[in-house]
Amino acid sequence: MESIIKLENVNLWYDKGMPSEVWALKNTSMEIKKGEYVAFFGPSGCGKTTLLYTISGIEKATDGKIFINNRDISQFSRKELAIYRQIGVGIVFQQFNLIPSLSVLDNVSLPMAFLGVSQTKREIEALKLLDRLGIKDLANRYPYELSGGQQQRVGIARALANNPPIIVADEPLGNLDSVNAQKVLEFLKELNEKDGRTIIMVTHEAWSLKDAKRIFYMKDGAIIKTEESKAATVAESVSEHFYKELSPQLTSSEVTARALSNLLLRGYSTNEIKRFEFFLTQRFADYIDSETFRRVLDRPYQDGGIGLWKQKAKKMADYVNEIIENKKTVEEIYKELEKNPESPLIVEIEKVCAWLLQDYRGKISNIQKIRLNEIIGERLRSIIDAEQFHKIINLSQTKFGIGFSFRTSQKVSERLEAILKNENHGQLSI
Amino acid sequence: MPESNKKIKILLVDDDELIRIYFRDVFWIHGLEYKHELLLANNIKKAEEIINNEETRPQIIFLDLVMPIERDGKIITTPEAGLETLKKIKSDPKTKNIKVIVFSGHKDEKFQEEAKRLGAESYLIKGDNLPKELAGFVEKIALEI
Repeated sequence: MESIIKLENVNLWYDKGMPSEVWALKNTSMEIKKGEYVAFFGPSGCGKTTLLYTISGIEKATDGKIFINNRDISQFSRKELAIYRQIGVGIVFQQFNLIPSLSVLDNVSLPMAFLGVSQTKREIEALKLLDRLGIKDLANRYPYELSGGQQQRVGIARALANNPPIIVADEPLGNLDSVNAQKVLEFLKELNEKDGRTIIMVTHEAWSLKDAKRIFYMKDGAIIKTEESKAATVAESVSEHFYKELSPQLTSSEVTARALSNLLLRGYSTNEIKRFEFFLTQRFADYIDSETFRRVLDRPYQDGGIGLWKQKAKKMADYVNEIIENKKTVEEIYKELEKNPESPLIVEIEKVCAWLLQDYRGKISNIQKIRLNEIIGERLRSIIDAEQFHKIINLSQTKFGIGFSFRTSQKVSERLEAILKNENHGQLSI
Repeated sequence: MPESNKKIKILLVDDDELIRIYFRDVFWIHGLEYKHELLLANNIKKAEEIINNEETRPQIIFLDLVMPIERDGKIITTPEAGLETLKKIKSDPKTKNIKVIVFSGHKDEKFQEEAKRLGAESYLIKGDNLPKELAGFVEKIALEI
């Protein structure tokens, strides 16, 4: 397939020769094929947005060549670049960048107005786009009347206004909750697969890479690696670029991974814990299998792994498998409770209890076991919270607790919370 | 992809630089320049040189109407400039088979009727086409050659 974008030794300096100079793009060479879906991935300040804007004709490279459909835009005049920006690329921004004084319809029409398209034609086309994005009803509203998800859909409609073959999305999910972020990802995928458009997404969030076919890893203004995207390889290679700041709306896997990472890697450095958290998220989301996860744990830190001893890596991978299994049990419990809130769930609770006590070496009486099952049941039904659960199992039997030591109580409590995180139990009406 | 010597020659005659850039970029962005050769003329004199030269003579012309033309020693800008050029092309046996599409911002039916009477293949209003539609139109006309 022929390339639609090709960069040859592109450099971009800000304030060159001044004390504040920044070498934002370093000898960058790359090629993107027509109809590809690629991502630029890396931490804030790595140059990925600069690269995106250079391709889009917004930033001007200091030197090097930027071929779009075999034509070098680095030689373009301002007028030529202005027209290229209107018909060659559509840009979706993180902050939406809608004009507050214009209605939704006028915001979407605006790029067409720049090309001299008549008002009647603009309105017809803008309404078609809004319809495609499912927001035709909002045509006469103003941006401040819309939710973030709706504003981003308007942003996408505007990017499509002049029907450009290239769509660039600069952290398009950054201001969206997880549901709307997912919708935007689905739409970008549709634009790629159905329309055949070339998609470039800039992101620092690993989970949003799932639809990209190739990933350009960036660091300090340079592309340091390009990789075909397969779930396992994304996960394995992404670690050294991992500066992930989890969004306020975390997925179930992320919540569990965050809680467990701090627990399982106590005493390790922040970087090690963060890296571990990332791989754990990938494992929980089933993007990587147990064996890949174990290899990552075992691999030296400088090679992108966590650097655990072989035996510990295996133990940890097995433990995570158990959590995944038990999370499934908990999910089944909640399904059952939704159908029948009074269901005793004896077998399921016993299963969870057995797992919680798997490593417990002390003796436990029948009364303690029955009581513990009751308390686990109460926790699962959200009758008590995590803190109360911890307190009760730590209380002496004479005070109607279980009588576990503080350390055992903490361990059992943490294990239980690991499989409960982000489950919907708080909303059950029991 | 056709070989370069088999590419269809398409000439745009327009005195507006932005329209020439736009037209060229539509060819470029929508992949038409692989199939067709785009020639640009920013005035009627330049257009006539291209049309009258057998080597460069186009098969299709997109012709603006309102352009500068010399009248009684003065340069005036008038729709007559385009219409007169159209008339010349269609009355010369060497050029009368060239497909001429008037590409104008004028919606006035008077001009549309006049262009048709003089032999224009089509009348395209500048503000009524998005880039991809313009590319589609070029493709359609080229198929008729």
